[in-house]
Amino acid sequence: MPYVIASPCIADYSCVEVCPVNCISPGPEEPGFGRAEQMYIDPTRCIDCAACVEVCPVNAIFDRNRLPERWQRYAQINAEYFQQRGKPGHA
Amino acid sequence: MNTESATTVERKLFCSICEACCGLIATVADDKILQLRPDPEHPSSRGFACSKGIGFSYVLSDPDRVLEPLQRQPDGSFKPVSWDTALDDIAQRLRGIIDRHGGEAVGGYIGNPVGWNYAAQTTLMGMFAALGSKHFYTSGSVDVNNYFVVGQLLYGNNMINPIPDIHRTDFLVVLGANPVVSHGSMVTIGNIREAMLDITARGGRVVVIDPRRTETAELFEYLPIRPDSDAWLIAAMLKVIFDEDRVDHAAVVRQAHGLDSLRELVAGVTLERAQSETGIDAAQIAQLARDFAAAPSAAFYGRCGFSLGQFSTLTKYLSDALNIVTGNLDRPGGVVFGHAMIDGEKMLADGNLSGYDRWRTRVDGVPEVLGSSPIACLPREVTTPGRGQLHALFICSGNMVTSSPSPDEMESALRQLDLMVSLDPYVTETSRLAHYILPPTLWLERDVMPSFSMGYTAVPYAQWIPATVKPAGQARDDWWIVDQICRRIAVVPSPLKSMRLLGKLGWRPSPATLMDIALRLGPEGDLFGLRPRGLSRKKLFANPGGIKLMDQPPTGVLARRLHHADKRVHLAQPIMGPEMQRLIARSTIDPEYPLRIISLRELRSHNSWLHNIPKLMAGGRVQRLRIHPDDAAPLAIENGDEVEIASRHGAIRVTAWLSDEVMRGTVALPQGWGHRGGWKRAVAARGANYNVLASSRPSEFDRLSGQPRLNGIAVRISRARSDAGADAVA
Repeated sequence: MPYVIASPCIADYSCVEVCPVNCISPGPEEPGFGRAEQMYIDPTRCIDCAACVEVCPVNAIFDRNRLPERWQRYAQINAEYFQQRGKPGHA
Repeated sequence: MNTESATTVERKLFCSICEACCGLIATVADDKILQLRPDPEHPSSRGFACSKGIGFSYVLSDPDRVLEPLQRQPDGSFKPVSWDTALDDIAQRLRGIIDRHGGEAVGGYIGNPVGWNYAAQTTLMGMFAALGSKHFYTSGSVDVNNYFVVGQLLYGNNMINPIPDIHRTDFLVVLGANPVVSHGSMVTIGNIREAMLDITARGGRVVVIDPRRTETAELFEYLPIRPDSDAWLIAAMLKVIFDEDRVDHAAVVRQAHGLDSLRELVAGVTLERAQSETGIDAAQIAQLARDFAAAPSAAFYGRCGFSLGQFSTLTKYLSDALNIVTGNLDRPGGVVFGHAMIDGEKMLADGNLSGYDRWRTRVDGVPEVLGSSPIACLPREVTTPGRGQLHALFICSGNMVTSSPSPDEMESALRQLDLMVSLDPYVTETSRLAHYILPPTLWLERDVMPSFSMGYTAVPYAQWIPATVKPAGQARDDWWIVDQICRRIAVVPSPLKSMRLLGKLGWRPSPATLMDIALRLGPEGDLFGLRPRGLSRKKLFANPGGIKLMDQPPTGVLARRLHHADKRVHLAQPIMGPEMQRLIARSTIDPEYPLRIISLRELRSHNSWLHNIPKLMAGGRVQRLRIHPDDAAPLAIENGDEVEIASRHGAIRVTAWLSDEVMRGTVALPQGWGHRGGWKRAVAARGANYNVLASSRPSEFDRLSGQPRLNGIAVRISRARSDAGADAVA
């Protein structure tokens, strides 16, 4: 199951830097980074490596199956970010 | 983490960058901070923190940080010297200045970070009190003294500031504030974004009013308003409430007097004029007023946006008045009084420190606020000869060349000082002008309490933490530095006469000892054993994660909290009359300068001091002017173009960014850019000093607070000629 970034995210972007498949957006080089209050994981490209979980300073990233109840909606929020952008995540 | 070793420990603390004061946990090994992360158990922030706090530990070991006393050389470079050399020379020069011009020629400035540095604040204030000097300046005189004026007038004490009860309110109106990005100011609410979203989730309503569709506005109902027309909006809402008799008379009779005077004040306001000034439809203003008055509970909250205009004190007064006449003061869901572990209001009152307009500044004749002078007046106090002329200045965490209006005038005045000493971790555009830069400890390196914000928290709590790590290099606490200078000129730096006398007799306790006494004798104190469950420094140091005092602020406490002898809010304020007349007489039409500029805050900036942190500057951040596509098109301005912004006071060049987030006729630019000095990354980020556009002339100020006009400045924009680079200052 893909990983999901939930409410505690502070857009610290350590996750973007370690993601081996560049599926976390918006990174520092992308438009929208300056205003982004959180990062998002593209569920269609996530390879479940959990590298991002290790580096997150605020414990905001969860396996979708283990997403705390109060943040369930974030699975959809992550997916919708990429759908609305109209293109898959890019570096 | 992988770097853990046998000596790794975890320490709780709180972030001392902004008023949110988020609880943090530091992973420390060998006296180095390996990681900062949010503390999920903190009574207020409950696991929230932001990238600024998490990233701040970089500053401790920043290669650009000043770590030993620096003495400026004739060529402008700096040479490291020993503490004794610096302190002895400063004291000798200071003695000479005092001998020639008296203690009143010596002044000080404290910047925003001193709000988390009670020891520096009290010691510096004490130094100038002991010297009999009125030259005490604060960054508060840029954007918050209007609160302190209204606190004194309405409630009898500068520090009284009822906070919006966001956790319980049915209706929140936010005017000129962007809590999603700022994380709250003049109110401390952990994860304020979620707290605001909870209002709508429980069926309440949030309306955000701002010239820019801010990150906060995007989440809620949004009304665009023309810059610096806030007083018009609130006055018109009050007019509707009076005309339609929607006043909560029972509450007003119980809590206040002077209602008729307020009614008279807004009598000349028409909805038509308010519509043309604000750009908000008259019917919408009337409906907003009705809805606000009808809501079971409502809170009107404004912040920097409404504090940077020409009528910021009138605006703050009207905003409090609106909360009061609708019965929302001191009731759940309205605006309420915080509960601090130390009663700062009482301390100020006891020390005769709270006050307004007890004297006026020497040159401009601007009223004092809390015993301080507005920073915008400083340049003329240096350059105008006569008794009381400012000759020596001590600056603590201050960057006035960037934060006060008319930077060139400020810089040129600072260069004329006989002695300028900056206590600063960096060689900044301001400190580079100092004769000495002295390295202070930073908040992770000294004990900290949320001394400024503890009275404004939505969840009252107590916290006072010891230093997390040892100071880097030769950095010393600001208060120690000031005290060492005072000892050399035989001065006891205390705002209280009694303490100065005791000091002369040999008892000279540290600020921490005095604060501990205030805590122990205070509303939550242990009374030195009489109240065993009460607080002391020792107890708080043993509970560094903070101790919750109450679940929510108390209500029904108005009479106890007011400092007016009659225990009523004083709505009648004769000085507001002329302000209202001035507002009505003002024309904002200026065909030569047709646009209005406002400042804005970004997620990874805080005032002017965090632009040297790599993590916060990632992505090639640049300072960009937000301009509406409809305003840009006739000027042939496209995304990424270099543009010149010109006002009647100055001109700067920046990069344009077309966005409909700003309303037509308004442009928005982040403040705090255009650095110079030794912080290399900040300097390399370029950008321009917003305040070049602002005037330091008193005629442009908010007259009652002395705050400069930084929002709503009339400007014109043009494409910059390609022969010059961006960010050149005209």
